[in-house]
Amino acid sequence: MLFNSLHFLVFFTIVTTLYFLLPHRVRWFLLLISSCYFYMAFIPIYILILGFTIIIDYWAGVLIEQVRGRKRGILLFCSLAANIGVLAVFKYYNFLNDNLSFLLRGIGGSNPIPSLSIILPIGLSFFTFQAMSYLIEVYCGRQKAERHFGIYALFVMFYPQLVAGPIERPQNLLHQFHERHSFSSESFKTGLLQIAFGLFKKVVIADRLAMAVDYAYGNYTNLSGLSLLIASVFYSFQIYCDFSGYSDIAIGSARAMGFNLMSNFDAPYFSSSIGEFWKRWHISLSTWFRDYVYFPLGGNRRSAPRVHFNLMAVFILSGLWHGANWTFVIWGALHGFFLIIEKRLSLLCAKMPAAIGDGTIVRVLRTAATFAAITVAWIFFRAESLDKALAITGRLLRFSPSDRIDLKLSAAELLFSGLLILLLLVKESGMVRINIRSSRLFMPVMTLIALACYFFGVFNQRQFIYFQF
Amino acid sequence: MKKTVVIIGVALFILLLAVSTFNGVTEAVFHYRSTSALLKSDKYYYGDLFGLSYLPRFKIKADFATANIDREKCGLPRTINLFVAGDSYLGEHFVKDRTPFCGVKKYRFLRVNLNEVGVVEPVKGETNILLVEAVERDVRSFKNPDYLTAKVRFDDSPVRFPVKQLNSFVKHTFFNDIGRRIEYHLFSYSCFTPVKELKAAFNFRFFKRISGEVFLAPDTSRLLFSPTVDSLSPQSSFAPVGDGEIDSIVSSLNYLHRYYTERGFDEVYFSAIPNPVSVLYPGIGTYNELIPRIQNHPGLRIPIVNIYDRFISTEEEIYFRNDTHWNMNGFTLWLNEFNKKIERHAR
Repeated sequence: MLFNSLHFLVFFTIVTTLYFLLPHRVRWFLLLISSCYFYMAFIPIYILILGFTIIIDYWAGVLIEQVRGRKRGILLFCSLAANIGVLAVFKYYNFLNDNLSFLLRGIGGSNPIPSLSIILPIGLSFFTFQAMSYLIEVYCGRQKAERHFGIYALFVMFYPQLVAGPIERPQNLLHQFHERHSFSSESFKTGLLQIAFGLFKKVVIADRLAMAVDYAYGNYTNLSGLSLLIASVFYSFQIYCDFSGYSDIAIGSARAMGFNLMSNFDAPYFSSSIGEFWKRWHISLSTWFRDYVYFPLGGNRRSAPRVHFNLMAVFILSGLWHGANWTFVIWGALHGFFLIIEKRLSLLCAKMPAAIGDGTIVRVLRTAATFAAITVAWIFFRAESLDKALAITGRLLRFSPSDRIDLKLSAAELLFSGLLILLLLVKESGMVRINIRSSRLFMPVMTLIALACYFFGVFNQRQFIYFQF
Repeated sequence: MKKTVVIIGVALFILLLAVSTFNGVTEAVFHYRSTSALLKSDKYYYGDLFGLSYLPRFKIKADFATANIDREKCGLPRTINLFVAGDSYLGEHFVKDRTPFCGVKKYRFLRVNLNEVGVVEPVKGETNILLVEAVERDVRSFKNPDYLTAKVRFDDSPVRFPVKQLNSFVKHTFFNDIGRRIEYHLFSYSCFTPVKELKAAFNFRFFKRISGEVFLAPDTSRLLFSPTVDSLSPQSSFAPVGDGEIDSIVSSLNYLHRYYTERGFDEVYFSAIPNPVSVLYPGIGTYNELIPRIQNHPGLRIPIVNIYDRFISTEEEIYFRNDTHWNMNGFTLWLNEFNKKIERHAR
């Protein structure tokens, strides 16, 4: 079920209303059943995979808490292996097998292992990482194992964040399912507004930009460098509006019922460095990698080469998390590389006079350079193959201001798309602040957003980009 | 009081979800609403493509006046049992009963493209004819003979299709097209039409953009159904179709002919109705020639009702400008071709 569908609108209304009508003791059941229904609307049979991992992780959590000594480590290892195993089979098996075939062909052999004909379960990487976070936290003693099976299942399956996050930590979410939430007009309105903004980002901005981007990536051999440059900038905003729009709807849906999910974005394109970008982009995933991979590897408290290795390892893993394709690996590696360069440059800058590094102009230039680097990396994220990404990058770098722009959008729509991006940046910059939570403004703002979504929205049932991960 | 209103509200939403979940229930509501002046849907009243785009310039009432059809004379007594496994091209807007068909005593219609399932019982000692009709965009479904044999059946034992796959059964039963049905129940009323037209006109005027489900013909005189134009869609007239696939379709059609004639039908005909774009604008892409390649295949054994050749040679207006279907002229041309087949068979 897509967030940008009437089906979801009806579903959300029913679930949220019933949630407050039903007594507290049965609410978990309502949310669990609703979450099952929500997930089954994609590919029903894959609910069994979720069920399998939930049963394993529930018992693993309980047992890890009960036993002592080496057995705890063994239990953690086995349960993590089961989770990663499911991920490996559904997401990485064919990728590894294809690479093996390629290698064997290179030495004149052939690969006898057949490929699997399977579709990746939606949200697999998200709920697997959330479940792994629970197991690690229980193992480290920072979280008590959840004894109520239904509540644990709900922690993994809670419908707002089931298929594309935010990837929650048990400390933030689990206890909320035990708490009694009374209806709060304030929370409800805040939730609805966040949903409305999320929907606006998705259907008005992201899906409009997607038309140009899809066209450019489908016809890149015939397009000018300037067209590809514009398409690349559009993609940066498309993916941001698509994913942050999804997160807004997820957080808003939960908020309307009184749940607080973690923020996933914080105006990332205003970052003046790649390091800052990763503190503002997909925060739930970047903190996951920071806490469970980067810190255990030693973080930045090691020698410079080791820190560089740690960074590269984390970002390549992050790339692989997104998808089983070399394009994602390169995307991750580029970010790792940018960060290493940034670290080296910051050491150099530390030796310069303070005035050079702090001015507004310098910050603007650094922000622009950061955005340019991120946009180049997105090309590898968006392209289906490395060849295509390299070809697009090559053509784009040879752009000329006099190139013809052909993105299958009318001049008016191109201009409108630019205005939307500007509007987004103005809102995110915090330059304009309106207290839309006030009772007087709530209805007019909601009506305005609803009308804007209806009249300017592109309703083509396009999935959210991050659903594929 | 406030709580009661909330309970009634949520009950209505649950009812809406339930009604929208099951196609059969929505069909019943559809039939009820089509007879009600107040609740009549604005989705199909001015043509299905208008209902997808709401472009005001295509808001033209479709003329389904069957009285005007120029049916050729038929000298046969009504003795034939005709069973039609088809789609909306022979739906109730065009054919309500046996009347238009030459020599037909008993007529039955099954919309197989909507997965309707029916049991057929050819009457011994009488002439039984099965007509398999499909619009071009659905012809590739016939690659697998199960597409028809699972629906046009000889016994009412439990249906194996699509239950044989639990996943597709659950998906099909509970989730397919639910959004479209909710939209139909909530917003397909004539009171909303002006708002939809305003949106469509605004987007067309300023952005030169129309709904993705329709395609404006190059001469801007009519709307076409996007999946029939988009070469990436399997329903498209411009999607490449290999010779191997044509062989499979032909082999499957031959199997269907054998299967149904061995079980009591005196004859089985196949008729593929061309997508409007194949006849009117074949040059806007590379036409895959699906229909001519099947009809002219040397291995084809099933008798065909060839309307493709007739359509490409006629000067008449044979399709609606705001609908995916043929108009009464197109239907009449086809009907005369089919009646000739029946007559020839009976004599």
